[in-house]
Amino acid sequence: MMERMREKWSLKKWGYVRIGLVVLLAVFILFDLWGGRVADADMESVVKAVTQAAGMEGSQPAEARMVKRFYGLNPGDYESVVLYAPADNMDVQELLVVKLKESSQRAEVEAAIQGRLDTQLKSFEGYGAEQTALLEAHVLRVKGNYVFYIVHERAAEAGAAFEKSFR
Amino acid sequence: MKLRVRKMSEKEQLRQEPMRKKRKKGGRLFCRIMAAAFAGSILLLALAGLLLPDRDYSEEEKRVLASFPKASWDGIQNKDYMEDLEAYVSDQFVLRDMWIRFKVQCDLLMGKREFNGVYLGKDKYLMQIPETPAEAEVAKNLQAINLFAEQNQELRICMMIVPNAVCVMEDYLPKGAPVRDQEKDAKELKEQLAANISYIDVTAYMREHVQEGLYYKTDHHWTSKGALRAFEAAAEGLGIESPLTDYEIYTVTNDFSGTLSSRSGYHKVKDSIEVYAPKGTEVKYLVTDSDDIKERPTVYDKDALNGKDQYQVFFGGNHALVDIRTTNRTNRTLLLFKDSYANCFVPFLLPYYDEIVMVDPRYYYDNVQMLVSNKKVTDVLFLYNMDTFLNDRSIADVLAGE
Amino acid sequence: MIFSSIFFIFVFLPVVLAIYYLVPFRYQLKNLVLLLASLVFYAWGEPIYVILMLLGIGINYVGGVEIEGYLQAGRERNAKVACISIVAVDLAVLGFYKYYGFVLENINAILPIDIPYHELALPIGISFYTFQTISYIIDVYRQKVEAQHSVITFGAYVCMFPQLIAGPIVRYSDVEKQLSKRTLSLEKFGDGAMWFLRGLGKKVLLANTMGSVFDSIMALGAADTSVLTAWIGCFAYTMQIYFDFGGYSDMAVGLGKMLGFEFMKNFDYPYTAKSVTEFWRRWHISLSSWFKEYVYIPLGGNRGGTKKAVRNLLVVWALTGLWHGAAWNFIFWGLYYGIILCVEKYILKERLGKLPIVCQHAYTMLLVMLGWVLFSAPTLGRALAYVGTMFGIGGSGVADATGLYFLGTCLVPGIISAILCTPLIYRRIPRITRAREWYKQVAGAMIYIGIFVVSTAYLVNATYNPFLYFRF
Repeated sequence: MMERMREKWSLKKWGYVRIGLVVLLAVFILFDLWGGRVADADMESVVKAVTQAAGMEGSQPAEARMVKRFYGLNPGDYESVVLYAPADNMDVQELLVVKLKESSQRAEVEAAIQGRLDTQLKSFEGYGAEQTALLEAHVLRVKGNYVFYIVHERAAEAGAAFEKSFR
Repeated sequence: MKLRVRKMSEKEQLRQEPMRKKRKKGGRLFCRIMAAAFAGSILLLALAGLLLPDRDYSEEEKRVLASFPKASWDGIQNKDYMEDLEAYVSDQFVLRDMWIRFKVQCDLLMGKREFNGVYLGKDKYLMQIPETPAEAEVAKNLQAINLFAEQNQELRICMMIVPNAVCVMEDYLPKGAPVRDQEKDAKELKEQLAANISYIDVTAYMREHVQEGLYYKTDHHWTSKGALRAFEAAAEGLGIESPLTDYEIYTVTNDFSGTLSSRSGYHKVKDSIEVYAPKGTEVKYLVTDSDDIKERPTVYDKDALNGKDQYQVFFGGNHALVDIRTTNRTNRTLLLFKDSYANCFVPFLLPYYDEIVMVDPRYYYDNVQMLVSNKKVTDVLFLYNMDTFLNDRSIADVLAGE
Repeated sequence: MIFSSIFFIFVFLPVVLAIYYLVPFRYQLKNLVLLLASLVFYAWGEPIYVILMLLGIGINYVGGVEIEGYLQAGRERNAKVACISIVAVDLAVLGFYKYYGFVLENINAILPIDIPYHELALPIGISFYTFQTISYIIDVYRQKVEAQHSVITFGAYVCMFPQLIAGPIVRYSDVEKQLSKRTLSLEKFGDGAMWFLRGLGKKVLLANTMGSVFDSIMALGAADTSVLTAWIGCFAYTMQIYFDFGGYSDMAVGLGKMLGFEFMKNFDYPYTAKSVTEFWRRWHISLSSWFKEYVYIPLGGNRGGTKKAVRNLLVVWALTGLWHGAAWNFIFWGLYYGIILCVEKYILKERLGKLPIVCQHAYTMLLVMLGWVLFSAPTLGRALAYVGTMFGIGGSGVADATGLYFLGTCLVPGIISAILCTPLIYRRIPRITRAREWYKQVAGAMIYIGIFVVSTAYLVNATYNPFLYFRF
């Protein structure tokens, strides 16, 4: 009798554990599903965070027309765009932050960045070993309606800072 | 009936059973050797990798090798750390260069003739496979060029798009290897140009001289010889009457190993770089460029011969703007829109212009029209190789001059 | 992490094996090492989704214990409810991650609405380990196996790294005993090394080579593809997919042996089949037998008349197709096989077997190769266009220089591949490795080490190393 009771109780307990796990699973999946949509962050603080992490607070952002030159993107089409351009033609360090107007713009911005990256890689192939290494270690992140791209010695740190600036 | 069927299968089983058992496992000695050799070779290579110092740079691949990555929570979360670590282990693998050469050797044995976008042709010629053109960009560029020509009717505008090795050296390709038809590309370009732009096609002339080594075996550029032959073919079109024909030839290096060697991993040949100096001219000149405003009396950069890319001996590589002022009095100033193919071509132009202004649209961000009027430009030349021209993303922007 | 990478072979594997061999069997320590190693292995590629897998392990572990408890207590109904609900959860997670994007895409396309969604990454191996847990739960319910009471051992079973990301789908009943008791020996390790290197060679030397030929051919425009080129491309893919997947299975078997496990074989010379029915008895055996056991037979199998049997076959094959990926071409590919199998079973019957053997092989290979065209093409239209090119519609003639070039580049690896599709060589291997003469055995080992050296060279230069079966 006792035995049966215990068994019954323990089965019940296992049942609760299972339901608990299923709830956790549901939470995980919901989190995964909604994770792509992040709360709004403002451009200024995002840019500040990443430039600080990359140690390039001193440099000035490039003019808007350079966005068109480098990426073929029209800055007017987006909420806002910030670009830090390479200092000269042997430099590859650059930083681009785009705040999209709508998420459907994401693909075109990513394609533009990829195009820019390919062009850069091609022009440095064979003779710009350091530049090529930096280009290959680029960081490209998308978070909410922000697209972030950096080629820099401290690209990884800047990438982490970009992620963090949304928390 | 049923019984018989069963008997058959039993018999079959009997026949198959010992064989299957045999197949399942190797002999004891074999297995032991396998175990020792497998574990031994892994440990040997892994430990050697741990003990040997890391390399920063690979001469053969012309590439900075990965170094040990720093761990960070963010890096682990988005897999960057794992990828970096794998790259590190692979890049610092013991005798990496030897393994790569060995691999290429095996590929050759298996009949492979294409390595990472490079064909290995006759006479150990490496030839870059041209990429698929960025059609929209080409159309945009041509439109901008035509507009520029329309706005500058008084200038003599020429376009010379040099075919790549795969086109000129067609006969050297592995038999039947698929490549883009660059002759067709050239024809299409020509048709789309405005009437006052003359297209200079050097393909046929270069093909006649194909045996002279017009392209480097290990690099995607043409040789000075190639540039010379193209110059001979183009002189008339450029409005150069009675071009010089005698040159002093200097070989500046004999161990040039270019981009195609690194890309393919095939290192069986070296190239030499030659420099041509025209005889029978007194022309002197001063060169400045946007990266070095110090005037110097040469278009060559000797230091480049000790560097990673010896092709940079011409002008020290690509610059946004190069300005060459000569002692000629021809009243002709050439504005040249170019890629790196032009770097070894320009030396042949020096005797015929007062000033040559080279613009590399990839890096030049200022107004071109201003340049035309400030420098009193009389001639314009677009000089590219076909592959870069069909994939260029900057000509239109430079000409638009925003 | 993939097996055919420098990092796996020269860092992960030696470290894991060293620890694994050093700890005793006692207190399930070896299983614990295996579990932890597998979690690291998985987290390497899916640092986030490892949580998903852990939750899955937890739910199925608890579920197994529960079902067994209910059955012992004689509460059939509860057991059934538990079984169904757990399988439902497993399937829901699998279905959600695999088909969420696909379903929404199709809904958006058909209905005049636009539901915004962001693509979820497909967790690697989810199709494989979910099928394992489902088989476990159902087998516990059917009382074919006892529930596993150690969560460590159960975890080690579900995410065992040799078969985690590309199978074989190891059924719990097959490894139940081995999980608690298995032997390790030098000979077994050596045997495992042999299997691993065999698989490595298949993957790195054959599959990748044939794959690069296939990719180059696919990069040509339809106008530049002659009949010859199209057939070479189709042949190259046929070889690539077999050696890719078969090589991976061999590596899994080898790693299993090194860890003391014996897995069932997943491929049995599929391209030597004399009918499509036989092909599917030899190709990806663990998957087809899974579908047979847990879908086809529960649906009623071939009992209940031809009509029902045909329905069941088509259902199973549509699901098999869908399992391979969330895209219409996979469903068509599955149905393509469903229909062929029905035809063979109910129309052709024994007539096929009366044809000359050569015709039987030709018939089978033709259908299989056309199947791969369907499988590899991004859309149905492209697949049909390609098949058209193969039969001279819309291409550039029967043969051209390009075709001859590809014939040249894939002649040697192609012939080697074709020979290695048959048991011809494998049957002779034991004559060397089990020969009485010691030097023959040594020579046999040297051949495998040679394969290892060459494969390593290709791995170091791994500019080209994609795994086909990662999508599933």
